[in-house]
Amino acid sequence: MFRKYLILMAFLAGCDDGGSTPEGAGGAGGGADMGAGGAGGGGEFELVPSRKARVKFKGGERALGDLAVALELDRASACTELGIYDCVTQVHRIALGGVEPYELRINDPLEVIPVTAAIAADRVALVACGQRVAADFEDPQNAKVFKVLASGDATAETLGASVDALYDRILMRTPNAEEAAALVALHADVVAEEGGDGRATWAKLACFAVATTLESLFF
Amino acid sequence: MLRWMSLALALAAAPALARPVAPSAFCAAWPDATPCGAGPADCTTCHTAPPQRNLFGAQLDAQIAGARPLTDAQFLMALPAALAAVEAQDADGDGVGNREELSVGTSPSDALSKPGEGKCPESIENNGWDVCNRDLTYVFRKVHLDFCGRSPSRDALGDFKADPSEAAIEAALAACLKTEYWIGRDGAVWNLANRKIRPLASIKAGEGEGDIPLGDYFDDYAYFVYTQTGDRDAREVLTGNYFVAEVRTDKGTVYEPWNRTADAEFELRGFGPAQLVNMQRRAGMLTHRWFLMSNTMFTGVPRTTAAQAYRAFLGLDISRLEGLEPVEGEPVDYDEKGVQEAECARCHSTLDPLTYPFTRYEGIGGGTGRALPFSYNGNRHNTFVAVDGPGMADLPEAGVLFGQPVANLLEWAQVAANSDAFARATLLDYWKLLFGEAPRPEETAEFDQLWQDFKTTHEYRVERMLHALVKTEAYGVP
Repeated sequence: MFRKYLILMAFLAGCDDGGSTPEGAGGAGGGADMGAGGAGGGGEFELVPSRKARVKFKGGERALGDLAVALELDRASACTELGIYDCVTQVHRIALGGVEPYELRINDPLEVIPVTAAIAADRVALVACGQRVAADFEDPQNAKVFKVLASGDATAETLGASVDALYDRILMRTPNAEEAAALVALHADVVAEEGGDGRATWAKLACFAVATTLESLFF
Repeated sequence: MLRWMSLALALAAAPALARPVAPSAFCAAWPDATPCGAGPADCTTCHTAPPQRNLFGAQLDAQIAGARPLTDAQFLMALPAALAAVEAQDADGDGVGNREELSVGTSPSDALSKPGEGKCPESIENNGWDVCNRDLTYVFRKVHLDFCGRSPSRDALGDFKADPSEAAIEAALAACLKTEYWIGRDGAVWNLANRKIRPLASIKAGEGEGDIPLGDYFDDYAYFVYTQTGDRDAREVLTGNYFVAEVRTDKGTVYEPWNRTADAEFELRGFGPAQLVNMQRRAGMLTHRWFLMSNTMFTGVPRTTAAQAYRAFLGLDISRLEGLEPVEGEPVDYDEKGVQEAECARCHSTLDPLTYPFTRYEGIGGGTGRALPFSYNGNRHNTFVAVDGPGMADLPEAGVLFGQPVANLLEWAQVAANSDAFARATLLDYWKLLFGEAPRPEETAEFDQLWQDFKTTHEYRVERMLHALVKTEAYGVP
């Protein structure tokens, strides 16, 4: 399953050369019917990429801070490793672009983002999303993000509403049709692999997928 | 430290590296080249990482005849003809000649970098971003992330999209410049000082004292943040004669200047963190205890201290052959370190006169006297005669910075703070923080305008400069 949602993530992130999603890298506005992931891909218009192609990694603190706000989590407990150590300020601090001048003498962020940054960013997103899903499914009446899904069955409507909520909260925009369809389709994969209704697992993975897009992690 | 000195000497001696004379000679021949806009061209004009050449550098090198290594004189003689030979050539094969690319600010060594690339979207709404013009929504979000450390709220973004304006961006920036993310401990500005201070917890004094407390670098951090914020003159980072305390309040961190004599410092804070240079001899962070302790240490001629000052505050790293301005008759070699050797003299003819004004400030010790550490001592050089040789008795306090004679460190600091190098280095710190990289060739003009404005219209106020920076095309066009 992991490989499948990696493919999904790549699709959502639209990492090919000229093909960030039309609203990608920041999502300025509406445009609901654009081809996700392909420059000039939809035939309706030709996506014009930035000549600068300059995006900056948010880094651990900004990424987790934004995600905590989006998911209504307390930042201090939004992500810990072993339930003790803060993911960003302690465990993955350097990998996620931070510094530690006093003891490690790392005075500047690493010049090249290390390969472990992607793993760390994944873990941060997965932990935070997991916390939100656990809380929402434990108390559906007071759920913050997945209220509709946690309170009912997994239908196209409830899944779609959850996708809308994730995009609205994390990327501050509505998903286009292809983005929404891709995430909704993930539910069938989850059920096929896990059995059961797959709601909670899907919710966690859908949240993870959106939270680890280029658009979410870079600016 | 010895290893670094050796490396610097080796770099200076190696004939195969980028030539110190090359950037100026290049700019003399092609003054219209964009890399020459801010002084001598950057090494990357011809090199990837010296001595490796980029495509343009390799093409140029092929036009310069003669057995390697060339002397500087041979190189300088051959360069104009070689440049003329490659002027119309196209090193990267993108269809645009080398000189044309360099004059418009694109790279002659990168086929993807060429004039007139790209086009504008027919519909900004569909495209998401206005990649051809200043995109206010993009700037609004970026200002929040860069200066507040978070994205704007959905409500704030919604309100902005409904009525986008430069005024709202100005207001957002002004508010963010007061946040803990920007000015607090371990915040964005605080961390800009890391490589200037180079802290080390194990020898910290004061709060969070280490095993061997020698100085409190929190004084340095607080001082740095103070000079960079609150509409203050940033030159005081080198010229101020006061100190600054970091005070944490319910409303956030504030920085409060203070001034005490050494005696009052002893009484209030004890010897551990006390600042011991008297007010008349202070030169901002250059005379802070931590700076003297960690750089001068036990050295009679504290070249490391001067080199760090040159690097940290003026952006010139002598170990990378930057900022070399040889002084006639130097180096004298007062401390018998062999700096007159041919492989040393090139750098030391700049570095040593740069260092003399620092020689009257005590580090941890090292001389034969019983001077107060970390203080000014006009007789300090004489206490090193027994250590470094009789020449130390003649060691002057006066030095030379940027070709300008200076009588002491206070004058050194004034010349430094008023220099173009200081303005450029200050801006470059923030530019790298905000863009994640140094200015690209096509951004050189805006960069140069900004640091020049920093010296004039912005009156050395960093916050004014930042308000101007977010208005640049470099910042505002996605």
